[in-house]
Amino acid sequence: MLRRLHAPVLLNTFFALGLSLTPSAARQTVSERFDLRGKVINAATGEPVSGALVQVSDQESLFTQSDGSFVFTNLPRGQVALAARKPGFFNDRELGHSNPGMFPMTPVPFEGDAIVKLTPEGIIFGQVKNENGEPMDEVAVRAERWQVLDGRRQLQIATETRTDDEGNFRLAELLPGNYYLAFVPVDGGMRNDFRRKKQGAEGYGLQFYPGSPDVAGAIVLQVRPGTQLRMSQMFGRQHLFEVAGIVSGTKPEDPFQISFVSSSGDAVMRNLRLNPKTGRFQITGVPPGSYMLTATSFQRGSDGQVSYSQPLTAMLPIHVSSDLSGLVLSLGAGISAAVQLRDEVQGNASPNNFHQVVVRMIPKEFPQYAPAISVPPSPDASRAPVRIEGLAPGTYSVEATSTGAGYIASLRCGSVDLLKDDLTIAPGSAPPPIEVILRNDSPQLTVALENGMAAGVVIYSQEYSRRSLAAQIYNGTISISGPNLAPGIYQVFAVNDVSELEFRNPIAVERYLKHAKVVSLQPGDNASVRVMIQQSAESQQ
Amino acid sequence: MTVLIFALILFPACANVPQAPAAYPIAGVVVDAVTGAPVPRVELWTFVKNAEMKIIAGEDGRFRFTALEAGKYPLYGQAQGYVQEGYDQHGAFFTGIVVGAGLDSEHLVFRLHPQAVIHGRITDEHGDAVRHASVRLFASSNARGMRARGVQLQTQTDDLGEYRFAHLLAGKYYLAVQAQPWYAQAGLKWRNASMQNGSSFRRIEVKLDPTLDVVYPVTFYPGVLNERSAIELNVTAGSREEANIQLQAVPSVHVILTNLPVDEKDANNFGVGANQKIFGSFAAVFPAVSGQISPGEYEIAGLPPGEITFTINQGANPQEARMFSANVSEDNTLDVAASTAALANVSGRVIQQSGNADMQEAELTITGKDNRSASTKLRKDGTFSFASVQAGTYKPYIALPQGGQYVQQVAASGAKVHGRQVTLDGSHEAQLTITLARGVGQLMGTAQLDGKPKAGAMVLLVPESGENIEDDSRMDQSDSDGTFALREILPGKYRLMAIDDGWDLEWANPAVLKPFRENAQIFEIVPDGSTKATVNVQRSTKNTPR
Repeated sequence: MLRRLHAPVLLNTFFALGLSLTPSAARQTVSERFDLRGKVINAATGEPVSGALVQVSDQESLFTQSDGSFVFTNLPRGQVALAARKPGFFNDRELGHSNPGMFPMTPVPFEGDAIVKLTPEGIIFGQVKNENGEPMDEVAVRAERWQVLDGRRQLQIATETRTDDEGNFRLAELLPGNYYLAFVPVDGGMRNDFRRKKQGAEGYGLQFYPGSPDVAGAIVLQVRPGTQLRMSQMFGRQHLFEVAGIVSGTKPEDPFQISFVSSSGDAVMRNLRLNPKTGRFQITGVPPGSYMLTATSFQRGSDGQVSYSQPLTAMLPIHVSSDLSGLVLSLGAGISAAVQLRDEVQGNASPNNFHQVVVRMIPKEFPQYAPAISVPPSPDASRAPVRIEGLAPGTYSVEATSTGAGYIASLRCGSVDLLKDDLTIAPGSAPPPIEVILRNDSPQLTVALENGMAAGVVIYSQEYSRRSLAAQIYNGTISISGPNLAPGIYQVFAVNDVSELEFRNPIAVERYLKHAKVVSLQPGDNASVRVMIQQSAESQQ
Repeated sequence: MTVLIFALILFPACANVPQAPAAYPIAGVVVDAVTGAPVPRVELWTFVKNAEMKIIAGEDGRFRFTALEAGKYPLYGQAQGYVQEGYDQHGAFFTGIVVGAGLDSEHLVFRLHPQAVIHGRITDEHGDAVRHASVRLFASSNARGMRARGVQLQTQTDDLGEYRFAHLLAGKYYLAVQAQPWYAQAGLKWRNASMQNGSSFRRIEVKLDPTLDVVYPVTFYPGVLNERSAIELNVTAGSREEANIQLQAVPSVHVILTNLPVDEKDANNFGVGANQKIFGSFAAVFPAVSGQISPGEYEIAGLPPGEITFTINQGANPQEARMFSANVSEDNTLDVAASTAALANVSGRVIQQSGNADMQEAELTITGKDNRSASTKLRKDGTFSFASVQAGTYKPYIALPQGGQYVQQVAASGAKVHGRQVTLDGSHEAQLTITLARGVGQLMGTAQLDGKPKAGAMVLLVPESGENIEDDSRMDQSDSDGTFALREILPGKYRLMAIDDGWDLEWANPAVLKPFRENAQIFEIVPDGSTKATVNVQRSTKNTPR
C-alpha cells in the first residue's frame, strides 16, 4: 500500500527537487542510485495484473511482467509519484480517491515491493426481448446512477449503448456503484395492427429494469469491482396514446416548431404532425408518462428577416395516461414574472465592477427547462425591472446567483421567502415581482482540521439549506468568504469524502450535525472554527 | 421510384381535387429472397399523405393495406434477421406500388433478403482486445455506373475488442481499422532553443519514451497496411462472416513542416491536419499533435508511416486551406511552399442567357478533386472572385434561391476549359465566364417487355455525346405499372434504354454500355419540355445472383 505522507509536502516542491538532480548537481550529493521494485495487483482479487503501464513521476514508464512485477532502476534518493493504468481497470485517480494537488508519494529507496492496486471495471451485459421472446434491436440501453451535483442528487447517465441485431448489449467501464438500467426503444416500436377490432395503438416506451416506466419502481443493480452482471430484459407492450391540440398566437408567416420531451430527457418526435397554417398538432404513439410540450416561434423583425434571438415560447407540462386533445399552447400569453434587483453593494462602484444576478426558475418536474434571466441584462441597461416570459403554471424552485461581487442577501416573491420555499404559480395568475437584494458585506470563515490534512468540509445552514456550501481541504485549512457565503448561523463539519453527500438535504446531513461546530456569522465578521473529520457513510468502498 | 427517407411532418397544402374513393388495397406475401419460404410477422409500412401507416404481416407472410386512394405508394419491410428494404430495392431505387382502377396491386411478392453479418475481434500485438477501435465497412457499389468503394457503416469495438455489422445485403465488403494504442502518448520531439533575443532559432530534440511514442497504422482486413493488399469479404445473403484483425504498433513519425507562410498578426492563426485516403473515397483523419518550432516551422507528430495528405489552415477562411500529399516513412522534413500547388486568384462573371433572376443571393461553388471546394456569393452584377485557389481541375455549380437555372457553358482566360470543367495551373490569375441557362426537362413513360408493362426495370438516360456522363445521366426504376419518371434533365441529346436486372452493370463504361446503346432511342430534351416515351426492356447479358 502506498504510504500517505502527513508532513505537508507540496507537489511542486517535489518536481523542483526531481528536476534539479542533473548530473552536475549530483556531484554535490552522494550519487546513490536505487532500484524500485513493485507489483501491480487487482484490488478485488489480489491477483497480479500483467501488461499494465506503470509510470514514475511522469518520466519513466514500464509494462508489468506476467507476474505483475516491475523494476525501475537508477532512481535517485527522494520521493516518486507511482501510478499504473490498464484498460479494464481504474486506478486511484480515476476512482476519485486521490485529490488533485495531493498525490501519494513513494519514498526511494523503498523496503520490499511497492504495491499499486488497480480496481477492475464492472460490466453489465445481456439481451432485450419483446413479449414474444423475439430479440429487439436498436434499443438504447443506459446505465444511470444518482450523482450529487452541487449538493443535489440527480440521475446521470454513466454510459450508454444500443442493442445489436440479436438484441445483445454490453456496458463496460462501469465504476463500482449502484446503477439503474434504462431501456429506450429508439423508434418507439409503434405498430398498428389493422386486423384487430380495437384500433388502439400499442408499442414500447422507456422502461427501467425490470419493467417499470420510471425510476421509482426500478431495481438497483449493485456493481462491485470486477462484477460482470448478465441481465435479461423483457419488454411488455404498452398502450400508446395520442396528444393533440393547437398552438395559438402565431402568425402564418412566422416559422414555429414543437418539441415533446419526456421527463427522462428523450424526445418523442417520430410521430409528430403539425399544420403550420392552422397551428394544429397531433402526436401519436406516446407511452404513458410525464412530458413537457414546448412551442417556439421565431418572429420576423421590421426588416422582414426572421430573428432567432427573441423567440416566443409556450411550455405546457402534461401527464399522459390516456388520449389528450384540445391542449392549447399560447405563444406570448404565458405568465410573466418581473424580477427586480436592489443593489446594496458598497464601495467599488466602478464601471469594471458590474453587479449582476442571474435568476433561474426551475420547474419541479422538468429541471432541464429552467428559464433564466440576467438582472440587469447589460451594464448600460436601465434600472427598470425585467421579466421572465412564457411561464407555465406550476411549482418552481427559484435560484439566484451573483455573477460577480456580492452575495444574495434576500430573494422574495411577495410573502414567499424563495431562499427557503418554492413558488407556486396558479393558472391565470400573475405572481408579484421577484425581489433580489445583493450585498457584499460577506463574512469570512476559516475552517481548520483537527485530525488530518485532507477532507471535505460542509458549511450547513439549517434555515436556508440552499445557502449550504461544501469545499475540499487539502492542506489542513481553508478560508471561505463571499460571494457565496452569506451572514447567518451555520453548522460546520468535516467528512473524509464529500463527493457523494447531498449537503443541502437535511436528512442526508443529520447524522453529522451531532459533531458539528455552530458558528454565527454577522456581516463583515471574521471567524474561525476547528473540526474533527468524521467518516462519511456515502463513500463507495 | 427514388426512395423517401423518413416521414415529413407537415401536412401538404390542401389541393382542391375531388377526392377519389379510398377503396384500393396493397396486398401480397413476404417471402425469403433465398429460400422462397414465407416470412412470418414482417413489419411493413407505407406513407399515406406523408403520414406513416404500419402493419404486421401474418404468420403465413400475407399482408394487406386497405382503403387507399388511387395513387403511387412506397412499400418497406423489416423483420428480425433480414435487411430493411423497399420493395424490389436496388441501391437508391425501388419499385413503387401503383393502385387504382384496373390495376392489380393485390398479388405482390415482397422478396426480403436475409441479412448477412460481418463480425470479429480487433487485437493488438499481445493478443489483447483493442477497445474503442474505429472499424469501417466499405461496400463495393455501382451507384454512378462505376465500381467504387464507399464507407457504408462505422462502429467502435467494445471491451472485448469486438465489432458487429448487421442487416447487410449480399455483396463485396472491405474492412479498415483505425485505433490508437491505449498506452501511447503523442508528444512533440522538437523544441525551440533560442528564447532570448528571438532572432536565431535552433532545434533541440526532446527525448521521448520510445515505448509510448507509437501508433497503429490504418490496417485493412486481414491485417495488411497497403489497401491494395486488402482482401475482400464476399458475403452471401444469410451468411455470418468472421473477420479478425491484429494491429501492430509502430514508432510514430514526426514531420517537420518548413517554409510555411508566417502570419505577422497572429502566430496562433494556424491549424494543420493530416489524413490518409482510403479506397479513393474516404479520408481517415489522424488525431495528430502539432506545435510551432519557430515562425514558419511546425512539427506534426503521432502519424503512422505511409501516404499522408496534409491540410494547412491559415486564416479564418477554411477555403484557403492548402493540401498536399507526401509519403512519410521516418522523420521527414517537408517544404510546404514547394509541396503545395500554387495558389492563384480566380474571378469572373456569371451571365444569364434568359431570365432576370436576382444574382445577389446566388452562390457559386467550384468543386475539385478530393471534394475540395470553394464557394462565394455573387455580386449584384453577377461578378465574383475567389482568393487563393489551389491549382487543379474544378467544376462550377450554381445555386439560386429560386432554382431553375444550371451551368450550361464555361469559358476562361488564364485557364484551360474542357466541357464544363476548368483547369487552373495556379501560376496566373484566371478569368471565368459562366453562362447559365434555364429550363430543365423531364422524360416520363412506360417500360415494356414483350408488349406488357415491366416493373422493376432499370431505366437509364445517358448523354448522346458521351460527355459529362457522371453529372448528366439520369436513372430510375420502373414502378409496378411499368411507369418511370426522369426529371431535371439538362437540355440536349440523350439515349434512353431500359435494362432488366442491369443493376450491377458498370454503365459509365462505354464498352459495357455499347450493346445496349444500339437498341436505344434517341431523344432531344428541350428546356421546360416534358417528353413521353415507351421503352423496350433489354435483357442484361450478365445474370448476377443476389
